[in-house]
Amino acid sequence: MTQLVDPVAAIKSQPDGGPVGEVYWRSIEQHLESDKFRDNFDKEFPTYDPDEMLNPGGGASGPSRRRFMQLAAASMALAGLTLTGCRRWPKERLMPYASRPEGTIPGVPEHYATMLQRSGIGYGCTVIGVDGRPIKIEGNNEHPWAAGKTDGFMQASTLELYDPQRLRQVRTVGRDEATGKLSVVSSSWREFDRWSAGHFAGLEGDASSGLVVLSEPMTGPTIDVVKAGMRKRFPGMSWYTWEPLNRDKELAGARLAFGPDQALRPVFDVGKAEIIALFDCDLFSSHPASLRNAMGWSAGRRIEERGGKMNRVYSAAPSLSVSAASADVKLAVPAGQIEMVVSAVARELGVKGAEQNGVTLDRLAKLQPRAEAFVKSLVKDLKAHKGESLVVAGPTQPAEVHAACHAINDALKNIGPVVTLVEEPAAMAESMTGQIQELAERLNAGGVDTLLVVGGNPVFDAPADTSFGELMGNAKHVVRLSLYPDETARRSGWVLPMAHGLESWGDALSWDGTVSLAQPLIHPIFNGRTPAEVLARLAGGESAGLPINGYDLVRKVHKDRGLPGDEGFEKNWRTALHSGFVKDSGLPRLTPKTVYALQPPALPEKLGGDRFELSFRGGALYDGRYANSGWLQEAPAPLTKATWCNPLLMSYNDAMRLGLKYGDVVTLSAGAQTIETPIYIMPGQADGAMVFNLGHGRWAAGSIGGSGENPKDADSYRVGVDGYPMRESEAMGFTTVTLAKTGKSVELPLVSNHHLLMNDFIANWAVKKRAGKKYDSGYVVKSTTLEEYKKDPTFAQDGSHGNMSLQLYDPPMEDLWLERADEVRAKHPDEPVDEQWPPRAFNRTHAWGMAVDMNLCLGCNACVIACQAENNIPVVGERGVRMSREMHWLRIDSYYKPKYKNPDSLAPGPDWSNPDVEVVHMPVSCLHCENAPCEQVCPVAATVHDTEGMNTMVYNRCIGTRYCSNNCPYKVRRYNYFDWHSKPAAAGWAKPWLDWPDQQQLKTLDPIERMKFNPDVTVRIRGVMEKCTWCAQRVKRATINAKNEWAKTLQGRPGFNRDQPEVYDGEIVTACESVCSTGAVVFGDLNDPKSRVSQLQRKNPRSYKLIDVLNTRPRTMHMAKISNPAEKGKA
Amino acid sequence: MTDTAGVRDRLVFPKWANYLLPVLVLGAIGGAVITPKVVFFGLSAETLNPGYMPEQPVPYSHAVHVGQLGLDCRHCHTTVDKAGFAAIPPTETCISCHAPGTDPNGDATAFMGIKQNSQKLAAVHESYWTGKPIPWVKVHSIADYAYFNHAAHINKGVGCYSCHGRVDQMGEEGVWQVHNLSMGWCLDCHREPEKHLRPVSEVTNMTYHLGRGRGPDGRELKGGPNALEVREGETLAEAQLRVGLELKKKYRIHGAAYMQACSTCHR
Repeated sequence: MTQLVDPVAAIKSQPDGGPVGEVYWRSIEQHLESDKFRDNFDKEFPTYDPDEMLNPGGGASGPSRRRFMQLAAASMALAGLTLTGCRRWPKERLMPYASRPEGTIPGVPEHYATMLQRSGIGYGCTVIGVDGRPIKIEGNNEHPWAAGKTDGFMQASTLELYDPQRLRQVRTVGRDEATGKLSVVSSSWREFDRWSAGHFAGLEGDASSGLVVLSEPMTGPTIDVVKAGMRKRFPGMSWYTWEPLNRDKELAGARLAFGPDQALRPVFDVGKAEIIALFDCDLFSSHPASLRNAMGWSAGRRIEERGGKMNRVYSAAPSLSVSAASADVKLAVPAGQIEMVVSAVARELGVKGAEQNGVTLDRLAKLQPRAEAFVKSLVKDLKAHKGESLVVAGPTQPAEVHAACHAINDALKNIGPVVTLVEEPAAMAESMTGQIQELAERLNAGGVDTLLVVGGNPVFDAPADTSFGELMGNAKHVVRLSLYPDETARRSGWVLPMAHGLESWGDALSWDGTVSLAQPLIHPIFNGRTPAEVLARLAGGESAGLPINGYDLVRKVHKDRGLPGDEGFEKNWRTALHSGFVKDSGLPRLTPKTVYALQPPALPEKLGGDRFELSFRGGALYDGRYANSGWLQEAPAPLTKATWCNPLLMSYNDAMRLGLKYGDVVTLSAGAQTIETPIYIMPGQADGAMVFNLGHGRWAAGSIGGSGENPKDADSYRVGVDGYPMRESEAMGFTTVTLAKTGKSVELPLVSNHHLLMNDFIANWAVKKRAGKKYDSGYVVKSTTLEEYKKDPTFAQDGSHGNMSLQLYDPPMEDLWLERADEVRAKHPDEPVDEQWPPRAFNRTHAWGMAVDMNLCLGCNACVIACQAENNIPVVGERGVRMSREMHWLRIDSYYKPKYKNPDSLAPGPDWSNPDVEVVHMPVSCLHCENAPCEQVCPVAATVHDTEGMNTMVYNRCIGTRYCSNNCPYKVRRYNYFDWHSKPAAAGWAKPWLDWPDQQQLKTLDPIERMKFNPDVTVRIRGVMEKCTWCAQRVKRATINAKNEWAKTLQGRPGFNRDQPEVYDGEIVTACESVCSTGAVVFGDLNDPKSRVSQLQRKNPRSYKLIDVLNTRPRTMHMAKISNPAEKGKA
Repeated sequence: MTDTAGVRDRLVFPKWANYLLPVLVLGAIGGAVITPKVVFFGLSAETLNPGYMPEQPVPYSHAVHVGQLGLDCRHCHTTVDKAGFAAIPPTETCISCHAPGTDPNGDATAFMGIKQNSQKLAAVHESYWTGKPIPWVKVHSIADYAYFNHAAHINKGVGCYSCHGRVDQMGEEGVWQVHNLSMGWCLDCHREPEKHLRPVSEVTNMTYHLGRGRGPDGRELKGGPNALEVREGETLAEAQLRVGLELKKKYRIHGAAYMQACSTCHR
């Protein structure tokens, strides 16, 4: 008798942290904590907490056991009685328009072009509105700069629009002198207008020097006109601009490089660059032009289209960022040493002034041994690609590094073909750090009568050494215009609600200077006003020639300015509004010469012992402004996969040296400032360098992002740790801190270890047992180098069973049916035979399929949030995430491939001390297997195939056994443990069923929050399973439209001309495909041999089916990742 | 000792206990049969839904407008072949014929209008002056997780009559629900659409199904000149099947498997 092997037990017995041959790791934790891991491996929801219902929040305030039983019994009784089909529907009203606007068809989504402004940059987009509600942001394909792409922050803006915790009315805040308590009094715009009319009249003339405006960066002709109007009325007024994630150093660098009067911003054509060198620069994700840059990068990665060529990305950075992780050649180096590296590159290239800087390769090697090879290889590549390379530094780097990069680009003749420069808009041309310092000094000196704080949140995010938060009270009157009742609003007198970007008329400049126009899709829900509207009124309104109504104002500004086109203003204006931008308004592209002679670099700080370098960067919440967005809080951060927190990133060696584990809390101190934060051990991190994301730890963001000024109060609540107290105006990029252990530890809400695919254990083990090559990655992640790929183009199909391009329902099967049909006919000659017999039931009319190219995936998260917005996906909160209950239909698994201790045998395990890791991002949603394991176990047929290859999920049939999820090898199914939508994200549990099931949500959901839902997608209630539907609603909309158009053509209706009822390739765009700036996702019809997805799945040798050993035959195929490292041994 | 006797007496079953078992058994059997029946039939869509006729804010009569005046359905329900929703017409559509005779102050207007001053139009006129919608009560309601698309049906030859019945005979009392609109009822047609298909030109014809020509009993059929043609020796159902199968091919209606796939209606 053969011995049966329990695979799980077999794996658990493997030595050193995983099965032999493990190549890809989800995180270092997976290795370090492998015991915990293995124990949890066979449990799908490992950290289930049975007390959650009884004791929500861990406090004593939860319901008692008895109460729970009562509720459970009541729920059961109601559920049993009220199966939704078994009673008359509740009475509903139909509210038609009294006067329907021309061209409006109720229930049909409308697309409008508009713009969202962030940090003074206008991002052109279109918005889908249904019956007057904007519900989804899409790209604007016509926009010359945005080019149809959007990012995660833009996707999340609909949630922000319908956030019931936004500032809902005008308030006045005063501090009671006696008790010191804040008193907030409701007020109105009318009262503010009355007060301001009198108050600002008193600030005219000489008194105007007492008026100070502090605004977030705002660009565009309208705000410029309004600003000029303000200056006219208040000649002595000062206007300061502040933005925590500013580009001061970049601007200073450009001034150094091109001349002190040159305020220039670089515009990159990344697609033209064969060699891209990033110096602590997140060019593809957090850069203001990241979408365009990422598009360019992806164009250079399309190997097959480019005849085997691929660009090469070099990155020197203290930690992995989205862009650094995408690099082919990485150098982990503290941010303070990057200047040395750049100097060495410049010296080797012979850039003017660099000969004397003294940074020889030997000297560099002494500082950072790995840097030598990096520089040599980079210099060789740059020399070979003059005019088609790009060298960029990031915002943390000092001006000298930026100037040096410009000088290198100039020396390599890249300025022109790859890099052009445009003039920085005046509103953003001055150092913002300098401006807020100056304002703080003025406040300290006194003499500021009225301070107008427009947008931003300086109390929370101003540099710590300016003490702006305390000094703001020195102004006699503080007027605050903001979206939320935030930290700054708490310290202000008048608090005015600002209109959201989707409620506003306005304009702003895109990165290339294109004037983008914003038009509202909805009346301001909370009666907010735009900054331009408020300031136009203060500047004198109509009497000063500034209409106070947003539409009139923007229209007048553009009328005065003149619009391109020769059809008269009215038509030109409509054209511009329709397309969302002013044609040909991009700023002229300049190609100036550098005048900078490189200086010897500053000596980097000595690190080691308890001294660390701490870099700051914007994170999931940008600078903190999106803290109350549940979508952004819960979207797993790229690479770390951290949700609801911002752990301190630290290298493996440092953590081991200090004896720190994941989640251990440390104290960082710099001078008098200290913060306490848990740590995260980051692969690819430079020793001595730590990275901290800004924007967490808000104390007046709302019930989701954190509230309660005093952290010791019982009701105060923080999400993550605030890094701003460590950030001083002299060290905005990085600083030096000392670290001390606290002995405390917390459990981080990480999702890196949730939803593990089988490769980690069973499949990989099976591969080893059977056909696995040395270091084979098994059936999940496939990646190789460009060189290897050219040698063996079909490597991705190695080990696959049979021809995976064949479909399960293809002709062989049909032939069988035909034979059987003849048999049936012979047996029953009288039986009426349908002419479609045997019905070719499957793959008819279409056969949907998807291709996901991991070579183009940056792991930026935009698709995750787009999916959430499109498909009404709920947020589960931090506790829910800890229990593996996140609901994202689409997740991005990031795999790290470290170096091994012994390159010839994987047995001794991975060598995490070497920061040289490769990263592969794998987006995984439901793969719509033809042979779906989920369908085979569902007892009620709630998940079944449709005829076009879609694995459908029928919510009203689902009884919640969760077998399907158990049986899904890809772990893409999500279960509604609660009615998450009606559950506050911070709470441990949701309200139980206390009403008719179809009425519960109506009563528990906030009426404003409810407006965000996509009406074409069912809002799931608790107790049902859900998963990616490939945007069935979009597919159906396109197919129904196609059929209707065809049918109308058939009827001979005028204006219709469609030759087939089937959709054409590209007519259906799923939410993830639409948002992806690199085009990594392609959806289409596999029946059409010319469709993009057919071409990719059948012709591209990198396509493979995930874990195909299980013969699930997924319709989504992944495409292997190819890296392009510098040639071995020749560097 | 008497105590013991008393206790013993109390422990003896009374006489009626002899009937208890048969009564319980009969009751259990009866209950087992009747309860599911009551629940099944009492709560079935067929019991609950057809005949639902809520009171509407305006006593609008389809019988007058469609039945007598012969207005086409699409005169008011303009979006029915363009969108998922057939869309209740905006107040302005009513006003195009029924402009109010007096303004909100009671002064005469210069409008021409039919039944300008009728009390039955009061709610319409109020909506016109205030710009607020008329709160019609929804009659035909399906579950929120099912997505019905009017245009997809209208453009493929499914007539209004097939789901809504003889709307041209529904008067001021309001529109009522004719069919139960349950999933089973939907699927009946999705399995065999040929039993209901008609030329697209006749989708709003309320009497198409009555046929024209002579029935098998020799009597003249009353469907009017554009109704279903019934040939010599055919029954009405046979004629429908003949035409339906032809149209199914012409309009490229999908096979039963596609039409019954979950994603056809659920998202």
